Amino acid sequence: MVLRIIKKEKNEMKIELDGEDHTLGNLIQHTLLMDKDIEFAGYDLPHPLSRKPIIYLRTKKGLKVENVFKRTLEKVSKQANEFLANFSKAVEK
Amino acid sequence: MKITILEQNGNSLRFVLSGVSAPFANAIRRIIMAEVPTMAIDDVMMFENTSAMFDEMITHRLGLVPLTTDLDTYLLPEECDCESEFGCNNCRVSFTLDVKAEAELKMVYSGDLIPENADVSPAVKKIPIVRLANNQRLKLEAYARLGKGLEHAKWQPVSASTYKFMPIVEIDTKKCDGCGDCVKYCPKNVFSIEKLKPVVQNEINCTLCMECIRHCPIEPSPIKISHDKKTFIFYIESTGSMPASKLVKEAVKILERKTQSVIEQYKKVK
Repeated sequence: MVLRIIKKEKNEMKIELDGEDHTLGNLIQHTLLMDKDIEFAGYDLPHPLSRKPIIYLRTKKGLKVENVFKRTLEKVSKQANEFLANFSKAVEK
Repeated sequence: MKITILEQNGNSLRFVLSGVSAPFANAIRRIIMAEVPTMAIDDVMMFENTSAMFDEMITHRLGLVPLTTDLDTYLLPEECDCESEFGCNNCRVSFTLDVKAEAELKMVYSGDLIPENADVSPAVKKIPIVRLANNQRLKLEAYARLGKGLEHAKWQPVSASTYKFMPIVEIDTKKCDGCGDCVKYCPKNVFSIEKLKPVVQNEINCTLCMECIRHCPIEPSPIKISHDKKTFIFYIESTGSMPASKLVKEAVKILERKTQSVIEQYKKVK
């Protein structure tokens, strides 16, 4: 996976995830939209065969965009860890 | 987040996952189908094939045989440092097959593949490959490697990886006249009759088909069908390469690895 920042301004950013698809694109978009600082977030897969989703995010006025993306991914990672722990416990029972 | 296992037998697994968003459930479903690595035969050396089937057809059929997979011992060829075209002991397993029909017709089965490592062997031994007539012979050497479902369906570790929303079925008993049509028309036997009134008996079986409402003589129907958008009923059916529960665990680990790699790359680029 290669990450490229296509566009970066004060409160908006466009990120390309080369080698990913809807699996992560849709999950990141949804988690971004749940964030209180986000004004708009979306993702697009310009071509179905290229596996290069572009994630767009814009924060509310006056809020910096830098940390929102990282914070979002940490939320996803935390959720995955929680799932693994809960699932292992449920299977052992 | 809450997980309850409903059913676990053989290769199939049914569980309820609640308190997560649909994109998260979908990510797990998609990763199980397309990104959990499994073993499959990828290269075949034909020594003798006097059967009625072409080499290519036999090779294709061999590729589709599900193999038990040991993810701890073997590496994906792109992650292996041998960089060899044919692979090494860490990224490739070889099989031999030598069957000859003497006087009678003989069926070649997946179980006739003899693996070099018993941990990687055909998950089902009775898959027919080709039928040999008398004096026909099939002799070959096959090489299996790890791969992902997104490259070819033969590397898909599941035959079914699905989820549905948790159905909610309610009956307003005051408005219901107890005609019993919903019990009769429901294809999943969600309702049953108790004291001349229908009651919800198997809510979880409901497929939201609305057949009960369509046949209900009262307008508007006292039956209300909806679904819980945060609760999912997963159904995973493995092809035999790994137990279904292991597949789910591997899928979540892959998701976790993916997010970590995005975080790392983001730190670097920023």
